[in-house]
Amino acid sequence: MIYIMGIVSILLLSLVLGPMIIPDFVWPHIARDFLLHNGLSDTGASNLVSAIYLGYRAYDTIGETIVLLAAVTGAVYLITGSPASVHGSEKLPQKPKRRTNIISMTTGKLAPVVMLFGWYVMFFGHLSPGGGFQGGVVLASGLLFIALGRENHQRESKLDRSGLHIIEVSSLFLILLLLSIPLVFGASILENPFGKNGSTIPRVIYIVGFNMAIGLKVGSGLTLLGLLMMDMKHDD
Amino acid sequence: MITFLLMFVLIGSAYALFSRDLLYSTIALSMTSVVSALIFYLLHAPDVAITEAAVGAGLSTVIFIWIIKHTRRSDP
Repeated sequence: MIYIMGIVSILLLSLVLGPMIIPDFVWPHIARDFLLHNGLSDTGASNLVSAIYLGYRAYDTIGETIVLLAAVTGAVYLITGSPASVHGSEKLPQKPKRRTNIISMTTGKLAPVVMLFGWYVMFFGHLSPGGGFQGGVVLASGLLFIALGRENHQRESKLDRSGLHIIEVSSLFLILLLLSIPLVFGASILENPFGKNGSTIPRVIYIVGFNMAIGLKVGSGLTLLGLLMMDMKHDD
Repeated sequence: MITFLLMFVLIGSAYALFSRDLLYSTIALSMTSVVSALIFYLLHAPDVAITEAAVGAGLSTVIFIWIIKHTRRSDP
């Protein structure tokens, strides 16, 4: 078994180090030049990665959020609805508590900073590196830090699970609303409706709205997944 | 520089594969994520670097450590 692992790691090593040895050739640059010249004026986002995945390729992003929704739904169904969680809550042998103050102090001090950085990444995704997904993940990390530093009863009072459900579903509806806004303005679906014909609304606002909705959705969904796993009753 | 960091990633992931102690494996995996985030940053992809650092080093490490806390620590 260990020989198979060794062979696999040598193959992976050659796969990783291969592109370093191969001399670089001329990459195609049609799409790069197109994005460099038209990306800012088409979508209003100076971060070209945001311009791609919320402007040109927004359909893929919608599919990604729906995949995350399906994952969260499946996890909620499996964890809360399985018969093991009903029987598992009878009599668990209590483990001796070996909890120090270090974890709760560190997480309590670190979590606001992490969450502030998450909000920054989420809201400035059109200017600086980052975006909705990354900001949402950082936000979920901050919330899970808070959950990690608390005992069970305190965790339930601090982080409300139904509130997270509501945030996730309402941000899905916000995404659907953003999808259908261009139809009102006579544009096709997912086409940026603002900033045309001398309109005063800046064109970026569509990207910012998408970033906010996706960030809230990803953050609440991942926090919900983490909380469900932490509260899961386990039978040894 | 990048080749050196890639060797570091490879050593870390091999240690995470072969280690019998799952907590050491998780920490090695988290270190691997941080180093690959550094590689992404050096290759002018800061978006991917933020994602790698947040998902690989932050969220999945928290979940792994929580799971190790509730199960056995050693890999049989």
